[in-house]
Amino acid sequence: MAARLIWGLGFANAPLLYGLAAASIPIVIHLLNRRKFRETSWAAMRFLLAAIRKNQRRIRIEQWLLLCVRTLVLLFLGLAMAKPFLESYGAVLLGRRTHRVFVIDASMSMSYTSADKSRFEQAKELAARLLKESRGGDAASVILMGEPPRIVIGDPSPNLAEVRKEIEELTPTHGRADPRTALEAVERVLETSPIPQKEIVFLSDLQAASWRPSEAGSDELKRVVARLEARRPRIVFVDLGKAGGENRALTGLEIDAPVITSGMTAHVRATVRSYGTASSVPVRARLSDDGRLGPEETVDVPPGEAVPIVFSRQFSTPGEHLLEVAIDDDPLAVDNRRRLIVPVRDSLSVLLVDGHYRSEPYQAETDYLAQALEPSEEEPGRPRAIRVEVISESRLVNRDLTPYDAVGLCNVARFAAPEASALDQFLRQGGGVVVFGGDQVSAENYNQVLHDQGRGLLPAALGPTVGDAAKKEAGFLMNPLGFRHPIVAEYQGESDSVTSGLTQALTWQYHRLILPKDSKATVALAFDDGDPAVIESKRHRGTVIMVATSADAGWTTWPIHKSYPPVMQQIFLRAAAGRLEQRNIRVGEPFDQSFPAAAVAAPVSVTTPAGKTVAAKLTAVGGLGQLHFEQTDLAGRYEARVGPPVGVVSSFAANPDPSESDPAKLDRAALSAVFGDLSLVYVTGSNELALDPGSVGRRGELHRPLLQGLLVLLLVESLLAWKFGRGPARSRGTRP
Amino acid sequence: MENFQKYLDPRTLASLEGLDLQARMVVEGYVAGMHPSPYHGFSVEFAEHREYVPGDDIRHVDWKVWSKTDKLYLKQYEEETNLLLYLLLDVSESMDYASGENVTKLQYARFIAAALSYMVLQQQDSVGLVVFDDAVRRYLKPAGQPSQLKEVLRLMDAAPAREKTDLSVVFHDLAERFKKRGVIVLLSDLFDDPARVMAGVKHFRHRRHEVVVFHILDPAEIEFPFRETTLFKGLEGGAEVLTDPHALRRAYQDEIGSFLREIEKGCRMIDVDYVPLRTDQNLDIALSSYLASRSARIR
Repeated sequence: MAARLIWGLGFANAPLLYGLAAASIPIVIHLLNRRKFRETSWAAMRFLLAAIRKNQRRIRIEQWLLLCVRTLVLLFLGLAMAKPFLESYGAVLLGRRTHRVFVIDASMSMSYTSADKSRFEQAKELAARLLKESRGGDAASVILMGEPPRIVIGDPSPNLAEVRKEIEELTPTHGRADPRTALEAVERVLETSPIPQKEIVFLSDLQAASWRPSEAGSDELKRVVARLEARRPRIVFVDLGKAGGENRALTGLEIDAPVITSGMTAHVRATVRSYGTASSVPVRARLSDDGRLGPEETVDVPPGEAVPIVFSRQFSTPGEHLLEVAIDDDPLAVDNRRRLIVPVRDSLSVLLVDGHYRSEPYQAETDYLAQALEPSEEEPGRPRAIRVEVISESRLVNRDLTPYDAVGLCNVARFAAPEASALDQFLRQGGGVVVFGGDQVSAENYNQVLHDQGRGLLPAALGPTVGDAAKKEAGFLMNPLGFRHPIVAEYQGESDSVTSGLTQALTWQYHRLILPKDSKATVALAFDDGDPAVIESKRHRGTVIMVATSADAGWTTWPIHKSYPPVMQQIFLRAAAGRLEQRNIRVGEPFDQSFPAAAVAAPVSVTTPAGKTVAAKLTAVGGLGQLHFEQTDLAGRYEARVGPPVGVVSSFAANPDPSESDPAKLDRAALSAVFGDLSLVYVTGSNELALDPGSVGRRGELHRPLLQGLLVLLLVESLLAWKFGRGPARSRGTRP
Repeated sequence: MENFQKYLDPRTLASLEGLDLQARMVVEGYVAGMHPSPYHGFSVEFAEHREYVPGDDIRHVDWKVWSKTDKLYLKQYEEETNLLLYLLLDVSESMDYASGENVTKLQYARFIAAALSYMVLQQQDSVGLVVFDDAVRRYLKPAGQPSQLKEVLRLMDAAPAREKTDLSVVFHDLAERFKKRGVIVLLSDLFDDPARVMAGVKHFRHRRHEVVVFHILDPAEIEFPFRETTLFKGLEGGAEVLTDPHALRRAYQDEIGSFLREIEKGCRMIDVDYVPLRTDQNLDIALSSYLASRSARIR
């Protein structure tokens, strides 16, 4: 039975529209009555004639009114039997099987709690009640709208009790929600659905951060919506959010040192943000280290602003530390805590590859650099922050780079493809590569193997060398570029006598580093002619830093200046920072970590913040065992255990996306703007559904109001008939 | 013993043959249900004085009056007072209407007239009859002989339904004709202008007659119970109306109600006994009303 559309109205039982002809029955009866009558002799004619004379006009109006009401009664009855529905609410026909797809928003903002119930719990309850109201024969699917969306039940399940049970067991994530990928998931579910009549029920708080697409995403979203609309589903949005919500959140937690070694003191910086319009309130923040309570700070956070809180923390013991900052609880508890896994190293391990290896002191390419990174006259008793190992370039190809945090390539003449590949793999593991220039460097080889037209690990191509170190004429001074870059930021605000150690270093010769136009690399230092001297760039999880001149005193006087050791240490610490960063991810991001190749066969399990242990597998990638873990949809600490023979325990922390803390939401108009022409039913969960969840299923149906109208008309008809004819006479004189 | 009370029902009574029998049955039925006897009111008590005329029995001269006034008056007693009952029977066409199983208004009026005649003659009083429509059609002078009943019944039987009623003319005419004072019993539906009707009745009162109005209507004329579209054909004159009576019911009842109120009020103003009757009511109501009216006036 196909629905027919007339003026935007659909009719589930269109053939019954012929029943509308019944509306003519009262008119026909009226006309027939005028032709068919009984006759009677009558004595009291004078009273009858007087009554007619005085009441003819009134009687005629009453008769028309009654005729009209009776015609409407049959008209309403005929229409109600045809079961009309409004096309704008989607074509859901009663009596036909419906495939109902529940899309439940599981993003962090759905954990917002009011009246002891989170929005996610409300969504589950409503979904369960809607399922309960479903008609026999209906089927349901469930999609959890997270990052990525999870199809909980794909094939339409007619076992609604089972679906309710599945929904009951759903838990919210602490991640984001992406409407586009959720709609794509809906599309996949509907693609395989054999039931022609479809309904999609979104249960969401319509948080603006999730639902308002970016400029670029808007078009893509509209394309998905257009494809979805082609399937003509009925779309219902149940809005569980509340405009004008208040929230305080920790939106950032970072440590100022790229790599921490034992004994080092670092600053932990937490950012507290207040959303909403309430007046500024004091917020108390507490730092804890591995569960031990630390310092506490209280700050006033004005509405709409972010306030930083800095804690000073000394890390005395090596190993993994879990730093946690927490603020007082509010309705959205998840974003009141942020965690940071800080691997504290005994020392940083740096491998220097010397392209001009000599045994005599200060003759080799790496002598100044090694001394700068690991000074021989360290304070007694203080652990060394960096341990350096120097090898010749010929030994690089056989060297396992995994134990090192950073590799320095000093005046290495050429690289073969396997070496480049090993270095790239090292970068994938979060390692750092620092490349120095020199007279042996083959720019052609570097550009071909390491730069590879922007595809390789080097962020810049090597141009011709500038200056002549042999003549040592007309050297180039360093331009610190305002000391803005973290590598030289320590010099900011220092006196000239201090900064001269850097700015007065003279360079006679350097490689011109040519950055591609769209390069994201940053220039830390430049020469006074404007050419870059030090470039930093991220690659994979690691960092590549290029120094345009030599590491030794062959091309530059920098190694003999006081600024050389601290700047070089900073360069290598930043290069090795990838090792730290990879321990802290955003909720929803996959976690990657490399383990020794021997671990590939070992059993691996990951314990989530909820205490659930998930089995994982390491895959062999480039001679390493690579862990790739995607189930990071909760905020907190994850612990990966690699079983024997390796026997390693490694932790990482997942923190929520700050955008999920913003309670701003879309209203109905904004939602319509996002979805373009798509017609949808919008209901607010807190009001309308609390009273009658079944109203969602009945939206757009007109037969119920018609039947109610019919009932009213029948009452009106009875009343009118009684009033016009059967009512007691006003006269009291008609005694028996 | 025969249960005479059933004959108070006009429909049962209609099944009997002959008005004389019907009259007797009504009275017998009425008497059987009454306590005490209706004859009790007519005792041998002083009623009024009358001037002596030669030939009168001097035993009845009131000497006390003679001693004070020097005039001769005779004492008259109740049993000697010959009551004159004038029955005025409306036989116009409108009286020929009956709805359903009911008797016609005319037939109902005849029952009452016959019963009253029978009762009055039983009491040695005189009864006369006027049959009228728009004019007096029959007139029987009051007389007290037993044969008078037969005459009354014969005239009523013979009276066919006639044309339109014009009561005022008839009443004025009759008021002039009735020389002796008496009781006038009017049996009619009074379908005329109430003002004119009352003007005629007033004329009777002016002549010092007692008047009892039996206003006889069919139940349908009061309730107007019709539902289907109906063509109403006027019994008096050729008017025909096709209408939906259901819609008109209330308006019609308003009209007839105001007519009835006007008649009743008019009667009350001139001290006339007004007895509304429906043709589906038992006849004893008519008889009791009459007797109650009589006894009240005698006292």
